[in-house]
Amino acid sequence: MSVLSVTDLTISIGETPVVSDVSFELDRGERVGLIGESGSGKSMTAFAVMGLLPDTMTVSGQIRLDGSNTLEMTEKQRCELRGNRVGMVFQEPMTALNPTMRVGAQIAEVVRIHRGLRRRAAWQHAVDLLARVEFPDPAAQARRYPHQLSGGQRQRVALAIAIACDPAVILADEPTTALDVTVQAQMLDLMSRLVDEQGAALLLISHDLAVVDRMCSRVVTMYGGRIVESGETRKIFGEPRHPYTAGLRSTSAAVSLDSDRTLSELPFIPGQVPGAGRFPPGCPFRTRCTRASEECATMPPLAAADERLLACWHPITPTASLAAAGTDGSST
Amino acid sequence: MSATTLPSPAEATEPAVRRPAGASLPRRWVRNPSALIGGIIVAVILAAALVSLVWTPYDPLGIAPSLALKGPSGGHVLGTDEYGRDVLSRLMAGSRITTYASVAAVLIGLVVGVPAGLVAAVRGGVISEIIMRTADILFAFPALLAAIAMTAALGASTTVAMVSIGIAFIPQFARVTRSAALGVIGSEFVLAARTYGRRRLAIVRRHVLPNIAAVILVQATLMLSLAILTESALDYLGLGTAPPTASWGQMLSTGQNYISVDLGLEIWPALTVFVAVLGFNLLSDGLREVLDPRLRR
Amino acid sequence: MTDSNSPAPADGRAVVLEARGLGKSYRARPAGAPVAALRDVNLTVFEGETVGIVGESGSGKSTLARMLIALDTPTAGEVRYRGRLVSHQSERRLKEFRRKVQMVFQDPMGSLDPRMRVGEILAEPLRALGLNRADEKATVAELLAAVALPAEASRSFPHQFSGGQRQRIAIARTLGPRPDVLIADEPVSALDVSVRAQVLNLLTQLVRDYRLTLLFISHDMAVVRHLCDRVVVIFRGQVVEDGATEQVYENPQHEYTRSLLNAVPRMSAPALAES
Repeated sequence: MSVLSVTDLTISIGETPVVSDVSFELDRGERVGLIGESGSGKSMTAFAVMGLLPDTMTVSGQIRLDGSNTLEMTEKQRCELRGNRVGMVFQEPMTALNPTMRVGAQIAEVVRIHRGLRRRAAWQHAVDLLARVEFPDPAAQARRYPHQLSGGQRQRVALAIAIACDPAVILADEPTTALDVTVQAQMLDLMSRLVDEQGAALLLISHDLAVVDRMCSRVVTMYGGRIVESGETRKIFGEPRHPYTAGLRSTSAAVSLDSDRTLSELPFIPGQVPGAGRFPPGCPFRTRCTRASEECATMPPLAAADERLLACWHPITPTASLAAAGTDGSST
Repeated sequence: MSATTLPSPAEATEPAVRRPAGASLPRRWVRNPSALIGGIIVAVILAAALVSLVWTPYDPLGIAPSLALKGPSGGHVLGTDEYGRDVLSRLMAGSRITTYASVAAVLIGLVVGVPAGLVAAVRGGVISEIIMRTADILFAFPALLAAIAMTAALGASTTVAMVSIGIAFIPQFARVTRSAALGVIGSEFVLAARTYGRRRLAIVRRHVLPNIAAVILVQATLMLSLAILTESALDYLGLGTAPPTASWGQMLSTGQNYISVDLGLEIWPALTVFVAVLGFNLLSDGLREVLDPRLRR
Repeated sequence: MTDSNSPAPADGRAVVLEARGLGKSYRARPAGAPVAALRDVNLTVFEGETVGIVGESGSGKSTLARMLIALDTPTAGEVRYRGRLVSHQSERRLKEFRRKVQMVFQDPMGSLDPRMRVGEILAEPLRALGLNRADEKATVAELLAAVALPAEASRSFPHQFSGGQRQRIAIARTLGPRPDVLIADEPVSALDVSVRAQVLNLLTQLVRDYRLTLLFISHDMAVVRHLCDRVVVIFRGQVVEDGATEQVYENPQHEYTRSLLNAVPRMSAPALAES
């Protein structure tokens, strides 16, 4: 049974759509990764799920959490969900915490709001959570201020806040991007363990394919505010069919510890992500796609094919995948 | 991107994605309500001041006892005061005093305060401490007290008012300049300039000043409104412009005596001061939006 | 403990940049204990090398970069460029150094003056160093072409460009004075995957075309592996490993290097074959 179900989500700023017709589901305990470069709409989608988009944006579609559509709720009702049924971890540990409050107090605040615990009980709960996120001396840690903690430690506090009320869904928007690589590894292990322990669903947004590969059983590729490919991680990364996924995969494989060092030039997807509202009509990827043709002026439907969902008129077929199609290794 | 011609991926690499420069300054000004209304008010006052140099409906100093204390009537749009002088003409003449004194006061504050702030920001250390503590001391003396002291020593005049306000403004300009300059000095493009051999003075001239100019300009417009208010207050107290020269504050002071007879004598100068201060405040707010965010993308 | 076996190339290439016993410590608070950002760092960079300096945050790698380009003074040790002392020198004495050693910064927006047009930004180093005034315009056009940007870009402002394009501008700026050495401090960390690859390719090409010695500072082990033929690992202000890329990655000597390599997330699915 799905814990989070997004249907035909469309987000616009004025006339300009920034996310179009996005649909996906998360089941209990499932881990789904959302990948794409900046400007693909992934963060907007996450904010929409939390109901945190500014009023200047129009949102349509359905976001069902525990069966009810959050888009039809009042702000008060949504506040009751945030931190309670849905927890979120953001990218920047520096700014996610209030610098004037002790970290224990910030965690306690969440439980006081949603569980009505009294001060002492809430504080104890906070200390317990700090132990769960692997602080060796949780009672002392709770009394510290954010500026006394390192980036990794702050991110663990943020994680503690996110899981404080045992949410059904955890949203993590680039949670480890700002962290050092050794700290990142620890953080991912921790997140894995906690999500499993709680039986929560995880929606992980990342531009780093290796992180998603490690953490998520399913992956959704977004570009230009649309889903272009989605399915099991192993399938999508092992045999990408959409040229964009293939391009991302190819570049990240070339800049990895396992790549062939004799390759002097890295493959890349030509051009760059256009700004909001500047995507071409039809398939948003066509201006950067080496396989594009006139057909691509019409948006291909997201349809089931080859054990995944795919939106492409010229998907990469099994024989062509060996030739790293869809990317351009030519010089700048 | 038309449906029939597709750019080859090589073309798609760079040029198509450069953003346009954005609306020009005049256009942004006009679109911003604060800047627009403030700008209009300020322009009207400046115009009145300039025009009054060559023409006013009546002589601001022309006494006509027979016409005293008449409300708006026959040619006197706003009426006459206790000596029969035309109120509108006196207000126009007053705008001259006010403009002159305020601009001069702000200039004094700028000319001393901005370099002081720059030196403090660039040199840092002991020099910065000395400058900023001196500024703090100056800051502790309100313009009013300074004016009283100066008047006692030198007698009431526009110049006394102007200089005392100007001195009181120096610390504010110094602080704002130093703080803005520190921000720029800490930026990476200044670091980059050092890596290719730019010397300190050149960095201040080419990088710091252009990037703090907007902040200082906004501060200056804000100080102008404060100057108008303070100058009028000084005149009201008899510490600034001496009669019979027309000044808004002085008109406010004498108008008090005639409230029961002709309320306008008090209201017109009050309204004028109010609108003038409002105008500069709006302009300052609007300028802040018009000048800064565009370039911080 | 420095575990450095700085390779001395048999072909006798010149030593371009050298740090000896370099140390930097400062007091976080006037009465507090001194903090050592760098301790006894020895580094020898030979002409034509591409050296990666790897470390996590707080390792001191950026401090090291600033010492090497004389933007900051060491509290111990010295830095030499082609044998000539550059640490603790007045700006006047560093004129030639400032020409020959250039730097690219991490933040593509922060390193370009937002109030200056791109053409001015590119011309500035030339003006500051008193070079090439006569055909400034031609030089600017040449620099833009070298980084694959159109000539019209010179009239625009930095905010009109994307992050990747701004980094190209920043790189182009360094090339004007015709430097020997390029120090790049995390130049691609703030960029998207594909743009990152484009800029890295550009760097590779420029290093070749302009015969540059490259010092590439990064926290990203994979990028350094791709770009550099030598790797220096920094941990808590000290060099813990220094050797040829192949050696270091296949056979890391120091425990910290091993932990860094283990921590890098890797794909489980087999990589696509390259075309």
